[in-house]
Amino acid sequence: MKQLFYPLIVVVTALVVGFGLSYYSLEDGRELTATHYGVWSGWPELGTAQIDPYSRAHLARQGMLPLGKGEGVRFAARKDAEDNWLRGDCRYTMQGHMPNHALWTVQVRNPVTRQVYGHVESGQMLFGPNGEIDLTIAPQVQPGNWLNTDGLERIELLLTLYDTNAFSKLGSEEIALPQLVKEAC
Amino acid sequence: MGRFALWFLAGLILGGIIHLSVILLVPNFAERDAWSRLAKIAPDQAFIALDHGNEELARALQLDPALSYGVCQFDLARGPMFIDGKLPHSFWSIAVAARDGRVIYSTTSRAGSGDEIKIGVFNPAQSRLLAEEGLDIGQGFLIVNAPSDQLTAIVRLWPDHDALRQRYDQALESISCTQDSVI
Repeated sequence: MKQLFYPLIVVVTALVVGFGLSYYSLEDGRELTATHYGVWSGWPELGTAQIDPYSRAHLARQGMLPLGKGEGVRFAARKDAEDNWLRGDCRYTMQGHMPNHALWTVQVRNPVTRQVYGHVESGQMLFGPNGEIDLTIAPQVQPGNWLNTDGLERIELLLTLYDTNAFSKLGSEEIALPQLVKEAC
Repeated sequence: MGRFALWFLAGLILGGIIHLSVILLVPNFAERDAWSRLAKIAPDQAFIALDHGNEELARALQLDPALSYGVCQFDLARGPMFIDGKLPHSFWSIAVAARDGRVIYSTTSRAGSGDEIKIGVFNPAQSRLLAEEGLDIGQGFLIVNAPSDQLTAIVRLWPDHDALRQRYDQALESISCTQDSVI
């Protein structure tokens, strides 16, 4: 029995480390490699032929249609500016400027099932005098620009900027995407 | 204790090898990736507009509900592929993606080609033939060199209004995706 102890240690350690690390690096741990812009995080390099093996594995596992870098960039937000989880029964404001683009969209979805419950696009928006956006994200109808959360408990926002070169230029790390502030719950 | 540490270290190294193998092999064995899902609905050598009402597909492929999508799957092992069509005057983009999700090529309506898409997709051997013997291809085609044979062309089209969706879907399905070398 004692002879089996050490080989067993090797096998158990290898399996736990091998599969555990793989699962972590494709799920929660993937956030560690994301580029962050305030509350938004994403992988601007994802849509290129030179993506790293982790991103390839992530794409295969997620099953999503890839978005080429020349087409656009997608960011996700799961927390507000105060680092609290986004909730569908709260009211948030999204204010600021978007980097150069042809079109942008914001989706609200369930972070687990990925079911989309509402979306808005730049073509429907009212903009401020300097091109700034002021969008209210809430379960009840709001004046001005409004995105319905459908009252979900936990939500995730997806911001997609189409035809933007802002993230491939030098100094792109200085870009400020619109902030997400909780107003009330 | 020293012996335990040695065996534990061996476990860690083996674990690292397993980890790297899993990461490298996942794209080859994924059965629910975008390619496999589209293979069930996409016809051979033709663009199909993805159904807006299919919530399961939209969720799986993580489609943006603001856009209309047209896809064509093809295999360069049977010959180079030519994508040719005219789209409505709105924002559109096209990507050519490998089976594992890598985007080989992408462009948008603002890149200067107007509302026309003219792309020829070649694998390395076909590219060599093209350079050496000069295949007969239509005028104005942009040549894309693909490192692998199994590819998906994805066109995203933005309908300014929902009422335009049906017409835009027809426009997506009218894009040709064929191996005819002269178009």
